[in-house]
Amino acid sequence: MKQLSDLLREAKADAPPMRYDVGDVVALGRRRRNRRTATWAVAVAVVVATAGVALVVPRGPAAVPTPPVASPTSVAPSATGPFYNYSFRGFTVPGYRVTPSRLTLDSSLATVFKAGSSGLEQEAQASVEAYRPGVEPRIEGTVTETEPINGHRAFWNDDLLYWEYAEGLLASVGGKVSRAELRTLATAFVPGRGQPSRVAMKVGYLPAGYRLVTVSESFSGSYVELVPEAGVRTMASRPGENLTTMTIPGELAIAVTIPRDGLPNPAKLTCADKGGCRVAVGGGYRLSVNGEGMTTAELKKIARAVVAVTDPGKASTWLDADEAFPTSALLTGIK
Amino acid sequence: MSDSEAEFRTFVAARMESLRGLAYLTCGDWQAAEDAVMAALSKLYVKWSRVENPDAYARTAVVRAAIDETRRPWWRRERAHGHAMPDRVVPDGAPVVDERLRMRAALSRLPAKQRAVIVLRFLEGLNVQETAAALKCPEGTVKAYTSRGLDALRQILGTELEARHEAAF
Repeated sequence: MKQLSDLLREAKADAPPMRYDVGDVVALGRRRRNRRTATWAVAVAVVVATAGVALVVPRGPAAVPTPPVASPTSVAPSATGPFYNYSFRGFTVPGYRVTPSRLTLDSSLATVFKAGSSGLEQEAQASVEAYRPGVEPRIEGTVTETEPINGHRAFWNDDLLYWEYAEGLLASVGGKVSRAELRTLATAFVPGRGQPSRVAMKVGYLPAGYRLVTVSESFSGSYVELVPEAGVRTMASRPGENLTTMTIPGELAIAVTIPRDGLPNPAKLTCADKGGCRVAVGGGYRLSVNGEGMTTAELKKIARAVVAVTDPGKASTWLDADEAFPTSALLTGIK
Repeated sequence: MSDSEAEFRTFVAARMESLRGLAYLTCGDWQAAEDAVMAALSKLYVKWSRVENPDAYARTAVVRAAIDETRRPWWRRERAHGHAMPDRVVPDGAPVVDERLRMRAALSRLPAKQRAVIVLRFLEGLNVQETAAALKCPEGTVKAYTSRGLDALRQILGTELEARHEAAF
């Protein structure tokens, strides 16, 4: 009989060569210490302002880390219809195209591609994230003030550029591109008039109480996450922590994606104990359904009630998220 | 170079590799694991003279940074389309390699925090209380995650699995 500790040791064997050495660690540590010293006063302001809002306004306007602290107005996001719309439209800047691609309880996120790129995941250059009202993104480490963007306060937190895109609302941009280009992207951002998020499936059955909390669309396909109602409450009570479904018990994930993991793409629905259900759908895509703690029978029932669009490769055939799920799965408000 | 910095360098040289392994088992991606180790150790550098138990601090910081790595938007988007840890075992005839791949695939199916609990308890040998302190979560959560994690691993790997500390909770 194998010891788990031995198996774990074996699982981390065969590591690739390290990219960093002791000198790199020390250099980064020194930079961190220097930044910390230089911006000590700003860092104190962040802690005070953030803690204040977190205690007083669980789901109020985002805490921009500087006094004056935003007023404690309760802004419970209404989730009917517009909740599943992105909070901004895609846009272009010279050399780049920005496409909304992920919607969560906390934010709308867009992927930045080079102009003319096919939109493959690995070609992503950066991401723009606009936080919903009341969501306070987790900002750790040093904050460095920078020139305002479109007249609003902006600051750097390590390599992420944050700015206030409307009164009390924050957005961020970060990625592989230069700081100047991140600033250009932020400056071109215009909030509002976002399109509905879209999915490549229609879902006919879900276990009672499950709610749609994440919609992700990309070149690779369509991916959604649902959690039980109690999980939604937990996530809504801790905005900005990116809790999503990683730490919420009972996550259900449904994907219609191009298989890239080497797993079989079976012609018939195939369900494995603890391994979820999979079946090939049109255009070489694969439907997969995974649910934490769900029985295989329940997963099979869900999978059988999912109908993928005829050709997931054609985005024009996708459905608005709030049309593709039973009404009972749509959020109607967060208290 | 100060004595303190020399001490820090010695510590990093001795522990960096094993911390990377710990991070890898937690987040499932070697590159993300290295980023987690860099972030954690650079924070430790700043606090070096004030930290009483550098080993415990580093271990905790690395695991938490590795969990954070799994929450990054890009990472999560990529997770939707396949794990960095191989999800399929491709037998190559070498039993050790097969076993390694099977274990990685099994771990990749656990949620990140559950994986962290399993790794801290059964690789690092922490008890329930120490694991709860490291992850800043209740002891009950550690017990539940240990139980669920072991159950899942047994089902994925088969029953030929013994966990020395299982009786400890």
